[in-house]
Amino acid sequence: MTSRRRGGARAAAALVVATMGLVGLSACTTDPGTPTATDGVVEVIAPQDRQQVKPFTGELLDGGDFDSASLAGKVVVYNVWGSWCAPCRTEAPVLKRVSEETRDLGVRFVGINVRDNDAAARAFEDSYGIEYPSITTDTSSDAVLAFGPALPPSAVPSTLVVDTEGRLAARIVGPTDYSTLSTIVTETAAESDPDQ
Amino acid sequence: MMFDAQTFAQLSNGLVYSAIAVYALALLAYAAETAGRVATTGTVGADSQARSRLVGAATIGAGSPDRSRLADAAPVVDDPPSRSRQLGAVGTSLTVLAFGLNLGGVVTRGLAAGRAPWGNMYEFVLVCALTAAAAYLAFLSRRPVRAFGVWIVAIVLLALGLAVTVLYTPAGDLVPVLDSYWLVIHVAAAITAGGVFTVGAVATALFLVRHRQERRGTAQEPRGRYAASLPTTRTLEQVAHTAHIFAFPIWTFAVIAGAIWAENSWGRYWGWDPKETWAFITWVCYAAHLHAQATAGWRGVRASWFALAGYAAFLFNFFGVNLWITGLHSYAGV
Amino acid sequence: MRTAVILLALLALAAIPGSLFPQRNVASDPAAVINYARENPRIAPWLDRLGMFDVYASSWFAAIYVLLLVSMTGCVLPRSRRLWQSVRGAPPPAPRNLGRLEGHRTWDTKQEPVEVIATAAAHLRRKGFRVVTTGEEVRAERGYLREVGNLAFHLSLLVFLVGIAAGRLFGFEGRVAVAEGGTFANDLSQYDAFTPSAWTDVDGLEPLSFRLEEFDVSYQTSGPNLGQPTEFAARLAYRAGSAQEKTITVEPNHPLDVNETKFFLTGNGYAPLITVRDGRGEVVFTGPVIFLPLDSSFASDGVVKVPDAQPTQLAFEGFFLPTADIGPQGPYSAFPDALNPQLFLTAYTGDLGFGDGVPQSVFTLDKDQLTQVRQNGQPLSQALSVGETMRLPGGQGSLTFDGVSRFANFQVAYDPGKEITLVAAVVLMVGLTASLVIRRRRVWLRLRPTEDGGSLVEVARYSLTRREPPPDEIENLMAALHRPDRSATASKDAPA
Repeated sequence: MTSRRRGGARAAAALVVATMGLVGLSACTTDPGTPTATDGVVEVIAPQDRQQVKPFTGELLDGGDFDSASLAGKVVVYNVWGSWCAPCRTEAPVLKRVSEETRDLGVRFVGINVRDNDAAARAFEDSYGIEYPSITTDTSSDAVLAFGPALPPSAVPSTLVVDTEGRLAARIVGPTDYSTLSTIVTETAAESDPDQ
Repeated sequence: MMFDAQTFAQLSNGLVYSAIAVYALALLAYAAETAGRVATTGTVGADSQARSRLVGAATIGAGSPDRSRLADAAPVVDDPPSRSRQLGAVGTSLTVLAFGLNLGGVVTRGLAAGRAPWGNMYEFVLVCALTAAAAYLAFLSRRPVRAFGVWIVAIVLLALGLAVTVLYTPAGDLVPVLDSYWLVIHVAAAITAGGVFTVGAVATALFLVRHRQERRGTAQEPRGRYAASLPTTRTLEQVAHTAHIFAFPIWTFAVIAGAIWAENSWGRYWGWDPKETWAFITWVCYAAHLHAQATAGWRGVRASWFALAGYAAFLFNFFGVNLWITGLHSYAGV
Repeated sequence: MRTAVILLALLALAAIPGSLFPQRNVASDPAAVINYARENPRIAPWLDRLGMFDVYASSWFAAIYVLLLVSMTGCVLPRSRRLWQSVRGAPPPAPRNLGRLEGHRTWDTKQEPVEVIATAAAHLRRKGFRVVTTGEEVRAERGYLREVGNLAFHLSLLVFLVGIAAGRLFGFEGRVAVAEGGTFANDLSQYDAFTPSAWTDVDGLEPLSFRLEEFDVSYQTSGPNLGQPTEFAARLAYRAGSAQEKTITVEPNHPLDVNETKFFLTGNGYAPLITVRDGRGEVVFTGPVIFLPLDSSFASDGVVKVPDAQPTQLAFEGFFLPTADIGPQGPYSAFPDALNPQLFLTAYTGDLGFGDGVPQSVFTLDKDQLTQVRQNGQPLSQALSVGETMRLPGGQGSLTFDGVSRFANFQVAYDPGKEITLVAAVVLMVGLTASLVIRRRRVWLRLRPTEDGGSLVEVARYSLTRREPPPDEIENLMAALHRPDRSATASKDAPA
């Protein structure tokens, strides 16, 4: 993420201004209370460029414990979401569908609930019939830090695909649609399939 | 404890009011002295004998230790009328007394609040008046500047009058964000600089008055009795210069300490808050003044206007910004 | 120098409008420019075009200080060279006519010339002068440090600005509100607002997370400053990297500091604890809801949205009053502390508008497709004390006010380059003081043989600075030479 200043002359001026250190730079500020992604980013990372995701733990909305290490060797799709987040609602059916369709490929889905309360989060899952587990807001810090820079500001919702070797293979910032998610997940799962 | 906070607070108020009364008496004495001095000062072409008394009162009264300075305090000194001289001495004594009361008011205020007594506008003005008086008395002990007395005391009186009528705040704790030793340092430096700048501004203004009248008359015999009764332009300029070069580094330090405090409180050194902006403008004006003093063609009169602009910015920063412009500093009382 | 004076004057003038017009990117009130534009629709666009809302980032302001810095550099570098030369060289020879200089004195002496010169040189050296002697002259100069200070000041000013610039170019600012019990992870996605700089390394944010365990506020409960806060303290349990969890109390002026990433406590407010049940009796919401303070007594407003309530979505809107009281204008908060906390809420049912996927602020309600809940023809409005429940008619759901918690607002800053800035600031202060206080001057002593076999001694002084040098320097020198008073003839001081 870099400062989005326009034009060369202006960039020079900006540099000088920054040199004086007397200005609050303006890029990337979001309105308070709406850390929601609108302009989407879809990025698929080539296998040789992938970075390892640090293992993390958390508690699940349904009461269990989660440890990312327990899913080693599987393609895992992490979805950062909140019940307060409107775009999360548009993509919820997509996630549900892809999670069901790819389960047999060995793909697992895990939600990372942020800035939410557990009751509202459970009600959300109830409404959309989401079956896969989600890490609670209160214990989501580890997970969020593990993905670190992959999550830009206004990163809710974001979807992160981790390959069988525990590396970040793709990220989708903003609500995803069926074909994008389905393609990425299927392809990532196919990479490690010796038959192909 | 015999004295509790309440007693100290009342004592402080009493001392401040006493200081105001005594400053007022000092002002009267100084005004009478000035009137006497002006009345007995010759003007151009008016009285060739009286013109020998130009800077008499001030020079003798101050007891300057430096003979060379006496020599440059031309024209030749004559004994001023003793009544005027006595009035001046009375004015100075009263100023010293009022200064003592003022100091007592500040100290008891600090004891009442249990902290450095400059946490709100009222206290700031109280201490600023104190440092202005102190700076004047300090100069008076080494330079013939009693002609400043009437102006300094008038400014101090005006400031204290404003303090007790408009700005008064009962003694109390600070809001937590002001509870920082950087605040103590930052404000103390700003106050000290402000007091000394006041003397510098008076000296500069009087320099301009005398300079203007000298141009209309001659260096030895300026036009206008009041101008003629002032110390020489050289003395005035030197006093102003000394005041400015003393206060400028302190002001610089105040600005830096303020930035450090801002970083401690808000996470940024500088944010162009109106208070910061006017501190910056003040600093830049005085910087321009010092540069102008070293520039041929700007030295003297032109440079003086920069110093006065700096002082105006300082005053505006305190009164204007606090009362009319809102910003992060607006919680600083009133 | 004249350029510097003019540029400084321009800089002072140019800084003024920024304090009179609201500025973007100035911390005190982010909405100030928008409000100003609304109130002055005619002139605001013009002012904007002139850069009046962005004075300190505008090109004309930048032009002035860039020119100033350039002229300063152009001035300081040659002066440094000259200083270097003059420090390495010796004090210059005495001018032919010493009589024109200040403090000129002459007298006759029977002492040996060598002795006079040695004594004078020794005296002046003891006084800190650099001294060079010839057969008949003593040349002395002191106060080089003045020029050193002057240059140090100007150069450190440059370094100072570079230090701040480094901080600005690599640092960032952010803001986040956390309710008691809530967590924060130092990741871009968790900030309410995040302002990076040109070269901020957003991939390298400090791995850090914390939980706001408790937020304490106390207020003066008596005296003239009733209601003034006396203490803010946020107790955090934080974890930096893979270190053990630690607790820290963050107060104003005492930020949480993890490797230069600092969390400053800059604001606070109330986050009432609320539980909402829907028409089925299911708990569909429970937890703190941040209400934004409206006044110094912390009357606050806020919104509760329950999009997953069934059969209909629910929403609540209203005020939180920490010390509720009824005045002539209606309910208000009499005191900032939570002495009699009450929630005043109205309720809505219908569609919250989440369906179209457009992000919403959590602080406002989009009422387009919502219906206000009514009872007996009146909008349902209820004041709740802690523990009380507001029931919607027709069994559509209920809201329970479980308790009061607070939220803390943190201003986050990462500002590297601090060490450079601090060192530069110290040098700047020392240099400035030295350049103003130290008086550079030269003293000369010259001997001329007289006809009676003795010598005529001449001393004089030349000041290189505006401020007068110490007055008794010449007298002390003469005393050191055991000048017999009666033979002295003091010439008149040179005029200024």
